Amino acid sequence: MVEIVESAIEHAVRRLKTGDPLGPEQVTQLLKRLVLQEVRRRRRANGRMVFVGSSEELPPTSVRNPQIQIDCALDLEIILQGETPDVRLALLLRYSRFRWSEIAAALGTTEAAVRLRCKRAIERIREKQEGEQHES
Amino acid sequence: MIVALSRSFRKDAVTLTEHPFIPFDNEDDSLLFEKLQEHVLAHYPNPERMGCPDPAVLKSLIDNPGDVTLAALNDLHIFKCAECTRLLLELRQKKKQREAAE
Repeated sequence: MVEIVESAIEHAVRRLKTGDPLGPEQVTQLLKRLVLQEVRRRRRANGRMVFVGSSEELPPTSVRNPQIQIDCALDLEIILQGETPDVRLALLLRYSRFRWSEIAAALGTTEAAVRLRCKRAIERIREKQEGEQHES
Repeated sequence: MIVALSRSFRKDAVTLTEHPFIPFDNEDDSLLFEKLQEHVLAHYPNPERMGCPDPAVLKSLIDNPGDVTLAALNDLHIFKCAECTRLLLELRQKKKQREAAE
């Protein structure tokens, strides 16, 4: 339980560093939410862990970290397989908190065009993410 | 409705995209990407920074997004790296603060 609370506090600190300042009540709510999230995450991780030898035997990914033992269903490298480089870059930029209008400017196109090209990929990500939430 | 409220009370409201308690997504998919960031931060620790692009590339991505290539970013590595995600969020936050100060 201590580990769970520590992890929640760590997440909360990160959130507070990167977001707008929150009041005491909001911080309390945030912590409660993060503790519940961490409990669910650990329950899900324990339920999915499959021992197949060492993770070093698994196919390499861009992060070759043998400490990772959990195969996450929400794997963006797999979800975005087959997408064009400009869609991949646009999604990376959106992930980096650029607005769609800024992404369009960076890619030399219009906001409507870039959103249309990313629409299918975003729908797939959303489906996977909702699937994850329902499982938890 | 919530958008309007958020804008009306801008001084002391957190923005819609940054509010952690709104249970539905908004028009520009901010909540989706915020949850993705949380997912990556929680599931993909990479303390040894294996496969990470140079921090200068990430800075360039934030400052001049049109000049960075997927190859320089090691393709979709960032989607599987908590350290890169954390650094990106910090750089983005700093940039916003710089812009606000100007």
